[in-house]
Amino acid sequence: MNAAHVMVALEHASPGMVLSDAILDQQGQVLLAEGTVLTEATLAALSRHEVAMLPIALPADDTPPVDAAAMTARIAYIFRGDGSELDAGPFDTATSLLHRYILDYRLGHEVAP
Amino acid sequence: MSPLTLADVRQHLQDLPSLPVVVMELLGSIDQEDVDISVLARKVSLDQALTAKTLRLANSASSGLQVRVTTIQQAITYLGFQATRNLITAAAITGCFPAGKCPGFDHRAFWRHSIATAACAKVLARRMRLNQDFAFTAGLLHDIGRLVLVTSFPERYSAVLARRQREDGQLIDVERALLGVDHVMAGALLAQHWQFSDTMHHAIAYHHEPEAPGAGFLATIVHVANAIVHALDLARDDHELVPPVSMVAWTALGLSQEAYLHVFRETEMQFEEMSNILMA
Repeated sequence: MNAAHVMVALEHASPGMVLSDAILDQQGQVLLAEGTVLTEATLAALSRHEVAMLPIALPADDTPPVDAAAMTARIAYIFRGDGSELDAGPFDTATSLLHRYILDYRLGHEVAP
Repeated sequence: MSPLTLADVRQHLQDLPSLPVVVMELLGSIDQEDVDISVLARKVSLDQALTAKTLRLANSASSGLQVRVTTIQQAITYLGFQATRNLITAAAITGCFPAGKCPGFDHRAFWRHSIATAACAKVLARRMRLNQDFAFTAGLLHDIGRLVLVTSFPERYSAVLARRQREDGQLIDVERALLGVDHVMAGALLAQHWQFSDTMHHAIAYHHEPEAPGAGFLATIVHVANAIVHALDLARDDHELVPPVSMVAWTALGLSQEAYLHVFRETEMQFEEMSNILMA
């Protein structure tokens, strides 16, 4: 089974979600394979087979959640004086290093579960 | 309006709130080891509010004490004299300046920044195996000149803050442009007036130019701590702006990225706890 998944109740599942694991029926037959993208039809079929919970894959690519984007923007704002896009003066290097470390710290910190 | 001179600032120092005498003694003696501890402990104990705040700090988790201390003398026994002195100073100074005289000046944001810088300077000093207590106090007091200007010239400082709001940029530049003096000069004057030790005086006077001759390593620590705390956004100031970090100071600390990540984390943890106590 994929590591990044959540269990979702059938009534909360919606078309477009991806199964992180195969769905088996009572007899152990595969109803839907791992990686299947759910549709209205498959959801209706699952309901007929009395499947209650579905393992739904989380987006595999690490799309930054909204607050990470907001955090990055806020940090860029706080560092608006660092002039890293300008010709580097004697001060710029240390300031831009700090900028990078803070970004790593905040994003590692805020996004990690 | 005509620019202020250092003489103007000096003249107003007398009108500033005075620190409890015992705190003045503690600050003046920060370089000395041979202070009569029992006399000082007794004097501090006479001030109940100060004692209570100091003991809360002493009993906070970041002090690392295994036992609860209930007297100043006990705090000195378990934490050591320098650490206790440090806590007494913090407790006294954070309650000493009146809030609300200068429109636009966020007193709480000021102290959040100062307490966080104190915590960060302490963490950095420990990494550099330097005296953590000096670093803490210097961090706490580095911007004290701002309170001098705010308290002595509230209307003029309010204009500084209004222009900073409108035009952005470093506050120190606006201070120089509009007042003719800045918080670093004012802080250095106060350090003399309150008879701070030379070490402390230099850290305050050079925290914006740590590469200046004679600045001392404490100024370097406070300089970097100040920038880190701005960058961590701990003061909760909407217009937060990181000042330029001196490459000389940055290189002098010589810390790795991993070390900085630890410093950030420790700073945030200590700040949380200390600000709860000091700003209660």
